[in-house]
Amino acid sequence: MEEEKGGFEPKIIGFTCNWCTYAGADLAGTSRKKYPPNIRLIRLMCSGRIDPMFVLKALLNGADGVFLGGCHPGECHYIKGNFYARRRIAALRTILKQFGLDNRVRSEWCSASEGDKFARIMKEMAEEIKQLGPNPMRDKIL
Amino acid sequence: MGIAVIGGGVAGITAALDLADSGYKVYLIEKNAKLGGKVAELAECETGIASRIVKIENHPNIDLMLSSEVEGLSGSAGDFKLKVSGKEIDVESVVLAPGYDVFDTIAKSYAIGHPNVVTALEFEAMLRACTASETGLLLRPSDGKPVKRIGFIKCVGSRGKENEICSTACCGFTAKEAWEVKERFPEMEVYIFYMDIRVFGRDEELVAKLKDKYGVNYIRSRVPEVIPENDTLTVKFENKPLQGLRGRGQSPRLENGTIERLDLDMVVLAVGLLPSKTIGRLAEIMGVKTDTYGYLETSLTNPLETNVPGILACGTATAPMKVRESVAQASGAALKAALFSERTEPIPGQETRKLIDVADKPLKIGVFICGCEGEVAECINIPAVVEHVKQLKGVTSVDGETTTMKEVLEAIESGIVDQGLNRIVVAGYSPRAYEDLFRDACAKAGLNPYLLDMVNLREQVAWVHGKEEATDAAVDQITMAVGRARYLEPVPIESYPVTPRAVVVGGGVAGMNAALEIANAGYEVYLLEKEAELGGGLRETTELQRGEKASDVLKEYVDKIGSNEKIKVYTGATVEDVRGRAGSFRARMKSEKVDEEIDFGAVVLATGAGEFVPEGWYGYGQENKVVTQSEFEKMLAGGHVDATTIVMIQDGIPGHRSKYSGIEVVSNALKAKELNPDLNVFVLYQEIKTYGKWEVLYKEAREKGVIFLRYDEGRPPEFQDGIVSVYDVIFNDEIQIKPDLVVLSPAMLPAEENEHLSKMFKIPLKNGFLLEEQERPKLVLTPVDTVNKGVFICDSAVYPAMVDEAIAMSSAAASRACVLLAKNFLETPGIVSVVNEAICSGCGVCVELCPVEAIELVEEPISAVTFGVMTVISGKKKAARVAEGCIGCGSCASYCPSGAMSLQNFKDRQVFAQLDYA
Repeated sequence: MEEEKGGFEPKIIGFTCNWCTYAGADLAGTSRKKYPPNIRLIRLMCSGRIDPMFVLKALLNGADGVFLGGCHPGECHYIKGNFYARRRIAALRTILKQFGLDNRVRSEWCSASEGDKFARIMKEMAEEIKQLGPNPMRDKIL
Repeated sequence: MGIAVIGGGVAGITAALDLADSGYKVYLIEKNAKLGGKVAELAECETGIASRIVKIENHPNIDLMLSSEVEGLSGSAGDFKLKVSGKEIDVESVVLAPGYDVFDTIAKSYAIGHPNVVTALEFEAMLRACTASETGLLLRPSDGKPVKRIGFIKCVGSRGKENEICSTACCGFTAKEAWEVKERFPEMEVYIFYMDIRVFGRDEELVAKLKDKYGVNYIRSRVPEVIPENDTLTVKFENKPLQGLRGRGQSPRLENGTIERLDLDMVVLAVGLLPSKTIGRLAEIMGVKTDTYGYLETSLTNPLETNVPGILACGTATAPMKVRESVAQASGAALKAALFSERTEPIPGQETRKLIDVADKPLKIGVFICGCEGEVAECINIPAVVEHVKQLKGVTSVDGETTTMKEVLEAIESGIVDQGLNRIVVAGYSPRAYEDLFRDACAKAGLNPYLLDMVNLREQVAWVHGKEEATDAAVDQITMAVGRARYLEPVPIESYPVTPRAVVVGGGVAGMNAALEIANAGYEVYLLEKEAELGGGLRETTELQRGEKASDVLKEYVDKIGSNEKIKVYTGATVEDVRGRAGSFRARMKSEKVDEEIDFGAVVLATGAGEFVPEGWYGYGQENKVVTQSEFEKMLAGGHVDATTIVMIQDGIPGHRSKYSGIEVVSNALKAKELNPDLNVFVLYQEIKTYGKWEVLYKEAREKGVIFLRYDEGRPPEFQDGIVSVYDVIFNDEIQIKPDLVVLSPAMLPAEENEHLSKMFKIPLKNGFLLEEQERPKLVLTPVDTVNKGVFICDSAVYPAMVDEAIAMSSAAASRACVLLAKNFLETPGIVSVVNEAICSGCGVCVELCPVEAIELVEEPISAVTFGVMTVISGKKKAARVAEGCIGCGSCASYCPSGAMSLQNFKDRQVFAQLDYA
């Protein structure tokens, strides 16, 4: 559907925790913050549930970018799930670097009251990924 | 028989639900044709009240009487006859929640007829309308040009001649509106004209953020008039450098008294609250007293009771207050009303449900796309989405016709019952607010409630993208949800019995009150106090602000507790090693006399706050003429103050200011003046936060000659060589005072044990205080509930407040605990981790990770087990086991190297299915 409109419209998969970033996305909506329609959100209860496999699978499935959102440090609804997420993503990045994919994955802390920040990240990310072009994995795998 | 709740606003709704949910028959009487009161005028997505209204409309125990008015009352507590719009109903008790009316005789000088001048409530509606508009811009009503400069004027119709008292809520809602404006239109210049900023707790943080981060200009000046000139509005105010434009710690802001003009595109009036116009007549019918301001009369130590037994009062009908305080009072009043009544109705959710076995049935996915009363339908081409979704594998029914939540709920139920749907996808509302509601609907129709997925079309698609893109995004997101739905499994739900016993931690006024309330409702209570005696802060006080003797109040509570068989008091007590979950906790209690395991269903945390010892501040501790307000209060109670000049220093000492700090200063100053009218009393301050009716004390103090001097934040007063020097920002000069006594208002510190309790009961802490369940930016509708369902918080555990608020809040915590204890059984939570023991290698990674220590390794006898190419044939193997405390974060599932751990409802396959949509 994307290519018809001319230009490359990246597909971005977002994993968010239920309490902060998903709520921040809700707030962006209630404040009618427009942002590019490239994001497809997947709600998890906690960013701690983000398995590096999810990120890999998204990239291997051809997603051009992956967004990971959790609560700010110290604000995790589940006490420290967000730290676990950060730890694992840091480890994953070293692998992604080998494939030149690490700049397609962005993780951010975004709270329930940061609707503006959420919309801003979405805008920035859509721009960044557009600059990078389509995920090279797409051609190799799909 | 039953209980009548009069008023269907947020307070009435809360009271009715608490009662109905614990098995009482409720008559909810509302004069308007719809529920929700003033809160329903705010944007629904911000209040989250719609789910409560839907719940009430469908509640078997609530008799909803809309467009009804109370006409008469006879009888007495336990046997009232209430006449409502011609009908007569028999009730045992009555909860009055008639609410407030907005001050409506706004002075002409505010140019109230001008289209660009609106009240705060009207502004909310404008914000909502402009968000739905195509441009999304905030436009001047007069000529449709974008608003560049907006001014908020506070204290319109309050703290003045027409209405002496402070409306309490305006500072908070003005800050919220300013925040919303800045979040959405960062370029807009925002000016807030105020007299004092009377916000507490997290609102205080919001105001600081507005000033520092958002560049909102807070200007301390009462604006006398708004001068309209065509489309522009000019306000005059006292000149001083614009505060928001400057950083902290810069030179003091001086006021030179000249009058400045500022041209604004729009003016929002933070109009004060008045008691509802219906109160006079209602009070007459009910025979209850009203106070001088027309509010229902209650007292400092009985904030929920009227002069008539069996008639309770709550919310903004008793005093101006915010939603948070209002709903706390409503919950508390509900519990008190229940004492007069008997449970006659079944408790919802306690019927035995028979769920359909879906194990070997072919997939029948039903997709329900809701237009959300146009909010989604206008931005997304629903028929196109329906066409697309119909093609998806496993989808047997797509409904794109529903527009309201009620219609969707009905459609789901009939879909499950009549068409045999076995997976449900609801697209429309945010799951954060409404998932429970839809899960209930599934369960009611016999489908396992975890066979539901939700897509948030409104907040995350319709409102953030253009129509074409939104339709594409909607198709994708629903496809993803359908993908997940294919792999959803029924989550085993087991019921477990509720232990009908509560634990109250903290034996101060709040804890004692909570214990009594719960015991009166018929449950056993263990009251745990860490000190050797009950009383907490009451022991430190001699007299309360309305002249009540603290020792009398304390004695009354201690006597009542002593004579109540249901309450067991443990002093020197702590609680350790908490296990289990809501309804069925187990912990180890250690006290002076016992060390034993206790079982309980709910817990109320009512820890106090301690006064910071201001050692070294203004010479405290070194000079005996420097004391704290609480020490000064003792001197006053002794009837003699050995001084001719007293300086009281407000603020200045870092930390959390209690809600009563300002009131304490003013009331002590007045008491001192009463003892000796010739006494010179100076109060050095930044804000005097005498909210609500306490404003009159402030006025009285000024009239009686107490001198209030405001100093700048960056230039606090100094006390050296017996002389206090302060730079007064109104005189624009340094003033020196030689006092005989300096009185400090130290900050309040959260109880030390909060940290321990937060760990034990898994409740987040913020700045040392326990955090309630609901987070910003929504209204706080559950102020005493926490993320851990069986744990309730109140009083200084949350924020140090006045004694009336502490009592009301502890009654609320007791009420919420009783709603839970009234149930015979509860159902196990579905989103928890499970172990596949056959492939668990017993490595223990999950044990280390679990934030709540809910996983343990156990040794199990086995015959043989294979890990990859290796087979172990020993007789035993270690495997993880998930205990009851699991909160479902899923960290263990994402770390488990063998894939043995999984989080129900969020299993790997269920997440992967969403990635496969393309």
